[in-house]
Amino acid sequence: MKQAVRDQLGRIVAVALVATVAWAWFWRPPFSWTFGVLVGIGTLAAAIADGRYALRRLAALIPVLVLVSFVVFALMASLPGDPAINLLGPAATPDQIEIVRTELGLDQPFFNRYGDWLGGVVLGDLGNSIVLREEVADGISRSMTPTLQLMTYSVIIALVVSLPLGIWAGYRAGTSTDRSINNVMLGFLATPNYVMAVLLVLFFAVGGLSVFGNEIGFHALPAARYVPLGDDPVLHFKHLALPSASLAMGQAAVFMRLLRSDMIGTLRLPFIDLARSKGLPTRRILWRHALRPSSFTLLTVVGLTVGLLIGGALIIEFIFTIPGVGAYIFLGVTQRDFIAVQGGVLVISALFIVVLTMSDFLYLALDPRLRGREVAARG
Amino acid sequence: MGKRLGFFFWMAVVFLTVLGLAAIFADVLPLKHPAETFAGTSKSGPSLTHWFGNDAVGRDIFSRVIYGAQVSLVISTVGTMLALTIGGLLGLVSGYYGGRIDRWLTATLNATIVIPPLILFLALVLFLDSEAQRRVFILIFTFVLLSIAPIARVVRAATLTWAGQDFVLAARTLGARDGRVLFREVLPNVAPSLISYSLIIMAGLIVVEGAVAFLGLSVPPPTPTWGDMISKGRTNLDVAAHISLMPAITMFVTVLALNFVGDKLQQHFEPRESVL
Amino acid sequence: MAGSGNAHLRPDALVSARDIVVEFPAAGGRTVYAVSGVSLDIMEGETLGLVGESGCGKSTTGRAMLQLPRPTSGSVQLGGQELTDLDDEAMRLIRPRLQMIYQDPISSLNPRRTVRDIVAEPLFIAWDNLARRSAIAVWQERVAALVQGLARRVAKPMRILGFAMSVAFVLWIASETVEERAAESLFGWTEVPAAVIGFPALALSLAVGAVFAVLGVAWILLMLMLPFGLMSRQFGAVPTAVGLVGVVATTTASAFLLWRTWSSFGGWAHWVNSGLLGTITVVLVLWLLASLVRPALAGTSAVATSLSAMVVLQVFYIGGLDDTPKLAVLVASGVVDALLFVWIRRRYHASRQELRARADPRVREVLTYVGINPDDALDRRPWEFSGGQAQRLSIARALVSVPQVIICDEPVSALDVSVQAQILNLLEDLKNLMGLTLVFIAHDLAVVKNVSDRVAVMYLGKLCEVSEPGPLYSQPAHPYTDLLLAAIPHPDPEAPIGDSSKIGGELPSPLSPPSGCRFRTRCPLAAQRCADEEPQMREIAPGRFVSCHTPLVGEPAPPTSMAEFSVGAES
Repeated sequence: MKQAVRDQLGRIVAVALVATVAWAWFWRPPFSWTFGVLVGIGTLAAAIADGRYALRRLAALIPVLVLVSFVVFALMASLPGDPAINLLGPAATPDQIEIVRTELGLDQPFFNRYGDWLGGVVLGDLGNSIVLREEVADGISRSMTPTLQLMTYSVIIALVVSLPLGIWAGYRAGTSTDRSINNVMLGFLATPNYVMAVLLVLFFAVGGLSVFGNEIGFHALPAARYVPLGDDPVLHFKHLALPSASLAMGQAAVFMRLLRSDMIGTLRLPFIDLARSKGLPTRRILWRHALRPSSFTLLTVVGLTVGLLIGGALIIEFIFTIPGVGAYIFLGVTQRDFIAVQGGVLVISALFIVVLTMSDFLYLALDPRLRGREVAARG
Repeated sequence: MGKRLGFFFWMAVVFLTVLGLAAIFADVLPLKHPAETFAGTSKSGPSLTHWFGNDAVGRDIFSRVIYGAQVSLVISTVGTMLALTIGGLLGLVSGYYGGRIDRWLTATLNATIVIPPLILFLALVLFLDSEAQRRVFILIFTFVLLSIAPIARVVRAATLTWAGQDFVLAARTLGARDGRVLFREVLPNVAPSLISYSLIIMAGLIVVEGAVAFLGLSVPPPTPTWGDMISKGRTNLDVAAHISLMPAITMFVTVLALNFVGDKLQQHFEPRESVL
Repeated sequence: MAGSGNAHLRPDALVSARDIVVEFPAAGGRTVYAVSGVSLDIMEGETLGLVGESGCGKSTTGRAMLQLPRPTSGSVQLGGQELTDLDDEAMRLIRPRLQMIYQDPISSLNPRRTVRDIVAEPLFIAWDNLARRSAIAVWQERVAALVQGLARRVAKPMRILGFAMSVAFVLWIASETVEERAAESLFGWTEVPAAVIGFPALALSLAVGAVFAVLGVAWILLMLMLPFGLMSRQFGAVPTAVGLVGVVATTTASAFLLWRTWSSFGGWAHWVNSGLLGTITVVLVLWLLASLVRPALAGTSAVATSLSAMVVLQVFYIGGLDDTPKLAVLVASGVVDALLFVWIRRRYHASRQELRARADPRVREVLTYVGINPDDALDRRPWEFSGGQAQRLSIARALVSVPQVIICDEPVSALDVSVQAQILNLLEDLKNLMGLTLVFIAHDLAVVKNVSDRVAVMYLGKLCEVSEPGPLYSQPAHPYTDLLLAAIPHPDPEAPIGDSSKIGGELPSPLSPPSGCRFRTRCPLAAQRCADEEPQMREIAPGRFVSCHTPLVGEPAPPTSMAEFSVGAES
């Protein structure tokens, strides 16, 4: 027994450490259960498919995250101008500045400050916001919920739109159906999401254009504000409908184009001919046989989009006054709250990396061809 | 090769050319002054004298759209060109030499992709300098920083395929130096996809510039920018939608044209893919 | 088999490769043993056939002879000259004598270039390398004696330092000048109409002006730095008087530019006194000198050095001016520089057109040799040709630099059978016509049989058998050769299908080759000795060499002493 403990000491310590960090991140400040669930599902899937690979990828995440934290910190620290002066304004007396500097730890050498900060970050403590007078971690996890909801709804809408269109366009490749779907999607691709937001607000919230006295549009949906899901589910979805839709349209175009070209590739494979020769209906062939092998690139890109959206939805949050992470950081930036900003940027970057890794794991779990083989070449 | 590029391709090219020329020669053209307010025309819709209508204070939207194009086009063009040069070189070197150089470059470039672009930009703008004059440079700098990595990736991938071809070996067998191999043998083959990709990058930069302007952080007023015009027009969306719509449509068409031209060129230059 | 040894080598060979070893690093810190101690020699005018299965290292051996990549160890001699010792620069001068033809005719020709350029490229490259070579040589004579010893030590750190400083400096100037002055007064975003037109215009002229200015001034400096005699010797036809005028003119011009640069900063005293500028000047000058004196770098680095030095000087010059004349001066100096640049280039360097004109007769001649009508082909691109024709182009490219040796790496295996014979006959004709020496790499024994004077059989990075084709095909001595021959399908429909299981199994991994004889894992005659001891190359009949303990022809190998055994096992 003793011997066994001694043999496994390294592992036990490592597991204990990971458990502590996980506890600190997910329970102490309620970072977001979504994050936790995401990591859990991804790791589980990967561990089932190829445990050793999953472990290696997870271990490789650590130096990347440390590097990112350093880059973020160094970037904030290297910006010219004294944060203390920025905070207090040009009229501040030297004494006041000195006090604030000491309070923020700015009189310490760079690496001491980084060490302190990183030490806190590992345990989920991102420091205290200068302006909001609360823990940055609390602020971010509070604003993470609307962002994640927005992201989820928009990806769902995008997939609902793009899957049938992509499959159909791939099946009908080269025909006029394909070309018109493609062109419409190219149009969506060229519409920045804030323009889409303005258009949607115009047509669904404020009544639309009036042509010869006739209104083309609706007053159906609210144009701003966020209502938590717990308060009123109906209102919640009503309020998030326009922002989600404006994010979703561009993504739908990207997804559809990817799925289409992968679909074309899959439909050329012999097993599709086999399915056809068995007399299966087209719809079944497309959805049951061709979709899965064609969806792997799509999956990676969905992961990438989700990662990008966490930070990239800022402008949509701004337009629809949703208190998300982007809005939180924007507020920090406008109020020169560098602690909030560096915490926010770190969390978003880390989430992005984690989401990417998780989508790779999912890829692995779904595509049996990759299992146990040299997957590292792709990552 | 030898495929037709099609009517819409040329339409897009013509549109981009006209827009570019109009932006360059805006001062010479008989446009209204973008800052001049015309009495009694507040929020009035498109008319013969004011083609795109007037905004909330009565300024001519058409002229403001043209002048706004200057900012968008200059920033995105300069940004893309710089990123193209730097990213292209990095990608070439990375793909051609491989080994340790490649590994370090790829790792560094990947690290820059991770940080969310808009937020990086915000942080830079607001902390770095409140002085509005310098914002153009900060904008360009950030855009270059953001687009180097994707360009370098594309170039690296293309270089990898081409550098593995026998004609590169043949050139080395002839005693050609690395510079000659890279610029005479590899680059001409990489260039087409690079150029078409850079058009798509340019479209992306226009969108990001618009977003930044939308948040009111691009070149400050009175210089008109598309994003700012769209953003300001939102308050009057219910009564005078054209204030937002006109610049939005222009931006949409520009981005669409750039994407379309880039797409078409890519297909044109790569016969294998265009089979699809 | 699959053994080592040099018993089969002959004196006076044109190409002689000894104990070539090529190893590549593989994933996971392992090593691919691609070629392990192959020795080959080829007499002048001979054709050596090199056969073996794919992956046996025959192409790698061929490329190692070309030093692409250089073999891990071993020696390659061409006409008595050791190639593995030569540095890259010296090797470039040898390369025209040693050419190669590739398996895939399409991928070996750059799709974006015309036939004219592809076939003439060897000449352009060779001329360029020769010109550089002579420049380096002359420079060596004149300057190296002076300060070489000292400068050798200083050159590299100086270059790095100088480069870093000039970059830093350019950045500094750029930030100061461009941001503060240009942004406010030239770009002037505050006043919209007049302002914004300035920006594209300025950006454009800035770019154009900078490019021309830098190129032009760099060229002027280069002309100054290279002794005039060198230039005339290099390109022959320039009259001395014209050259002298050129040098005087460029000297004056660049002296004027330098003077303007300095005076715009308040003259010499100010220049030297301001600490940073002084330091930079000293570093730049030292750096210039250093990279000039170091002979091997004089050809390339002088250009790079003067270029970056000129960037700095030009930025000084521009930065020192007032805002209003800035643009005008910039454009003007750019135009002047560009004109000078064009003029100097015309005078001293053959233009691309001239080079083409010089190469044209040769290109046409060679194309005619390989059976392609130059008038039709010159302006077309490689993908407009069929595989066979493209291979002819590839042969033309190899021939145009009048090589001694051509290494043909499976030149016909990607072609239709009907075309294969044409290409083989063409190679045979050209060989007789031009006195070529060929190395013919192929996996097809039937192809090799007809063209080779001597055949070498390879297996997994080692040689099995070296012999003349006649006896080798009629009476193979090595079991592997026997198996290869048995695997050739006979074109007789009545004949029974050969027992393909005779050559069973896959090629073992070159990551961990078998001990002793590398063929033993698939050899029908394998014995314990084959695993313990690596067979050495030995003569079993006049002109027939085999590395096998129990060859099918001749005596079994005599037992070896323990000492030899351990050596054999190591290799």
